[in-house]
Amino acid sequence: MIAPKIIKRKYPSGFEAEILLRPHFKQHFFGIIIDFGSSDPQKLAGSAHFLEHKLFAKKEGDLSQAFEKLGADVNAFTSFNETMFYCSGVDQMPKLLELLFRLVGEPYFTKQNVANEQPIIQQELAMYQDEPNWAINNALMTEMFGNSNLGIDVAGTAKSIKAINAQSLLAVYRENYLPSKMHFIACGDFSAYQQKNILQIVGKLQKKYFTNDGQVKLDHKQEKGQLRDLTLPSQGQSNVFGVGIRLKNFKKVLASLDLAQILLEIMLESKLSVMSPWFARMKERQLLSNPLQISVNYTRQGNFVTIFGTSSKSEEVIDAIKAEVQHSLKTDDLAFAKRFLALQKKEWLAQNARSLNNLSYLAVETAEESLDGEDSFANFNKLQTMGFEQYVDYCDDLMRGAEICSARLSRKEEDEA
Amino acid sequence: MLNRNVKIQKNQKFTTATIGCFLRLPLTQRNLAITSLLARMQMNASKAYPSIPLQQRALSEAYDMQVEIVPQLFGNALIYSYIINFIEPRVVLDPDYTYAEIITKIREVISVPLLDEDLMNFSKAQILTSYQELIEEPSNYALDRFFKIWYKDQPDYADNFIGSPEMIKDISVGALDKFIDKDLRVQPGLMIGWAHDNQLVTDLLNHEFRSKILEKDFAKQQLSIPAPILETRDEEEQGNLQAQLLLGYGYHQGLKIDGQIIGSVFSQYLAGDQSSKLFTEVREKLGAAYDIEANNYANNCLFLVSAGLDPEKVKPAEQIIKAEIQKIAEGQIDLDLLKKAKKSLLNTRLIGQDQEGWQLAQMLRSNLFTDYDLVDHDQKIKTVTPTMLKRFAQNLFLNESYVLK
Repeated sequence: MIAPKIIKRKYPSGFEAEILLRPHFKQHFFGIIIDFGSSDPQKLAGSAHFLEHKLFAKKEGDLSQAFEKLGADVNAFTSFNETMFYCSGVDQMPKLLELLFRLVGEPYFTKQNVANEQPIIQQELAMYQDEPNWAINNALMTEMFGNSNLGIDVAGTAKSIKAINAQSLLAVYRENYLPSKMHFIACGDFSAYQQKNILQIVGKLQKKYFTNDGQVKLDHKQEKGQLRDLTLPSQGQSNVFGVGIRLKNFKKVLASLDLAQILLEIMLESKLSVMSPWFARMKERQLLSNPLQISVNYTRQGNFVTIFGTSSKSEEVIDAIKAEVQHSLKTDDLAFAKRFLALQKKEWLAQNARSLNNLSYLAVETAEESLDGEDSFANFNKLQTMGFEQYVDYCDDLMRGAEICSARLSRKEEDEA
Repeated sequence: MLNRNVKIQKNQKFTTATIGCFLRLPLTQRNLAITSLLARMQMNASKAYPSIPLQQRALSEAYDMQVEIVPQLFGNALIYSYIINFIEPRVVLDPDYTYAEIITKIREVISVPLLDEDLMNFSKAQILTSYQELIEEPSNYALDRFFKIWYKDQPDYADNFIGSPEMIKDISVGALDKFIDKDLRVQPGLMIGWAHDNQLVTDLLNHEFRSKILEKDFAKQQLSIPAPILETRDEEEQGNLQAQLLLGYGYHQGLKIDGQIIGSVFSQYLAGDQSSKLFTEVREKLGAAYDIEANNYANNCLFLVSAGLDPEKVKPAEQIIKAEIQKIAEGQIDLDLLKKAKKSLLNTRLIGQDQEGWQLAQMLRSNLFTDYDLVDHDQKIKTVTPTMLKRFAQNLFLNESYVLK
C-alpha cells in the first residue's frame, strides 16, 4: 500500500507542522487545525463555530478578499473537537502562508462585527433546521448527551448565538488557540527547496502569531441524555428516522481510536448494509428500500453511532435495527460475516488509495490524525492482518453496555388519531 | 475493430482509472423518467449479477469498483451516463486483478440489464422514496418549482432530478425492454477516460464493446433551449425558517462558447466567492443570507440567482440583486473585482486538472459540443472585458421570480 512521503517538524512552542507530498498535482493546500471544537467546554454554546466565522474579520475588512486577490480559495469548518482553517491555490505560497497565519493568529472582534455576524449564523442554522434530517439528528444527540455542548447543534442555539459578544469570543480564543493545540499541514507537489522554505516560513509565522502561552485544559466530562424513543411532529411528507447508540465502552483497539471506529463501522455494515441477510429480510417485508447511513463517532465528550434511514414503517425498522445490533456477530450467519470482513479489507485498501487523489480531503484527514496521534496507514496494516475472531471480540467489547435511542417523524394518520 | 468514439488517455497521477460511457438521447419527459428508473435498476443488479448483494459483492471484490449510472441533462439532450472508477492494477499488485478482468466486469454490469418485475418495483420504491426526501428540502423544492414554472408550456424540459414520479410508477418491464432496444441502443455512444496503460484499456474496450453506436457522431450542433417569455412572479408558503428566492433571467439566443465563458465570469463576479458583489451586499452588509449563488445555465438560456434568506429580508435582498445586475448593464463595473473573478476562474481550471470529476466533465463537453475545443478557454477568460460583461447584462431580461417562504 502506498503511503505518501511526509516531512514533520515540531517547534519549541509545541506547534507542529507537516508537509505531505503529492507529485504531479497542481493544487497547493495549506491548513491550520486547532484541537478545539463545538463540544469542548465553552460558556456559550456555538462559540467555537462563531469564532471560526469571526476570525475572518480584520481591521481592514474580510480577510477572504485578500486570499481571493491571490486567486486562492479559503474556508474553515468546526467539528466536535476541532476547528480548521484552510486555503488552496496554485502559486503565491509565501503570501498565502502569511495570510493563513494572520487569519488564525490575529483576532479582531468588535461589538459591531460580532453583531453583524449574528444574523448570518442565524441564517446558517435556519438553513439546517428546515431539513427533516436536522430534527432527527438533533433529537438523537440530545437524547444521548443531554443539553451538553455535544448534545446541541455545532452552531449553538438561537439564544446562545444572540448572547455571544466580542469579550466572550476573545476569552474563548485565548483559552483554546494555543500553539501546543495547533497543527499546520501543507499538501501538494513541493520541491525540496519549497519544502525547506515552507518550514522556515512556518517557523517564523508561528512564533510571530501564536504567542499565547496559556495552559491546556483537558475536560473529558461526559453527559448523558434520557435515551428515549421519540416521535417528532412533522410538517411535511418526510419518512426519515434515526437510531442513536451511545457507546459506553468505546476505547482504543491496538492503541488506536480510529481503528476501533473502523471495526465498529465494518461490523454495523456487516449487519445492516444492502449486502446483509438482515437487509434482504427488510426488503422482503417491504420495510426498507434505500440503504441506511451508518456513522461511528468518537469525541472527548462521548462516543456514539448514528444510523439514518427512510421508511413509511419507521417504527418497525427501528425495532428491527435495535434487535440486530444488540447481538454479537458470533450468533449471526458466520460465513457471511467472514466474507464481508474479507471484502471490507479490500475496500479499505481501495479507500486509502482513493484518498490520495483528493488533496483537500487527504490533508484534512491527515491533519486530524496528527492531532489525535493516529496513523491511517498503520491502521490499514493492522486491519489487513486481523483475524475474524479477534475482530469479533473487539466489536463485542466496544458494544458492551451500549445504550440505544431513536427518533422518527409522525405520520399524518398518527396526528389525526 | 477500432471504434471512433473510444478515447482513453494516459493516467499521469491518479491512483484510480476512470471510464465514462455515454449515450446521447433527446430530452423528453418520458426519456428522463425511464432512464432514471433504468439507471437505478442497473446500479442494483444485472443479468450477470442478478441481485443487489451479488452485484455489490462483485464490485467489492474488484477493490471497491464504483459504478455510477445517471441521466445528465444538457439543454435538449439527455446523456445516459455510466461512470466507472476503479483502482489501478499497479496500485494493488494482485495477479488476479488485471485490466482484462476489470473491463469484463464492466461489460457484465452495464451491457445487459436485468429486466425483472421485482427488481423494477424495488428500484421504483427506491427512487420515489429518495425523491420524496429530496423535495422535502426547501432549496430543492424551490428549484423544482422554478423549472416547472419556467417550462410550463414545454413539459419535456420541466422535470428535474428523476423526472415525473407518475410516469415512473406507470413504467412496465415491457416498456423498458422496448426502450432499450428501440431508443437506447441506437443512440450515438462515447467512451472516454484515463488509465495508466491507456493503450491496453483502449484495445480491451474495443474488443468488449463492438458496436455501431460508437461510430456515430456524438457531438450535437444545437443543444440550447430558447428561454420562454414569462415575466411571472410566484410565491408559496411552507412555514419555513428560511425563505428561498430564485430570480431567473432569460436571454434571447443560445450562447456560443465565447458567450458561455463571459457568462462564467459574470457568475463569478456576481456571486463566486466572498469578494463577489452579492456576497458583499446581501450577506455581509444586509446580513440576509448565509448562501447566495449565481449560475449561468447556458443550454437553457437562463441566468439564475438563488439565495436562502431571512424571510423578513427577501424584498431588500431582491432589490439589491436586481440593482447590482442593472449596475453592470450600465457599465458600472468594479475592475478589481473583475480581475479577481477572472483569476479565480483560471485557478479553478488549473486545480480542476487535479480532480477526476472535473476532468471527465471537460472530456464529455469536448465531445458533446461541436465548438468546445475550438476556443482556448483560459485565453478567453483572460480577455473578458467590462464591455463584454455590460453587454451580457444588457441581454438579460427578468423572466421569473419565485419565492418560497
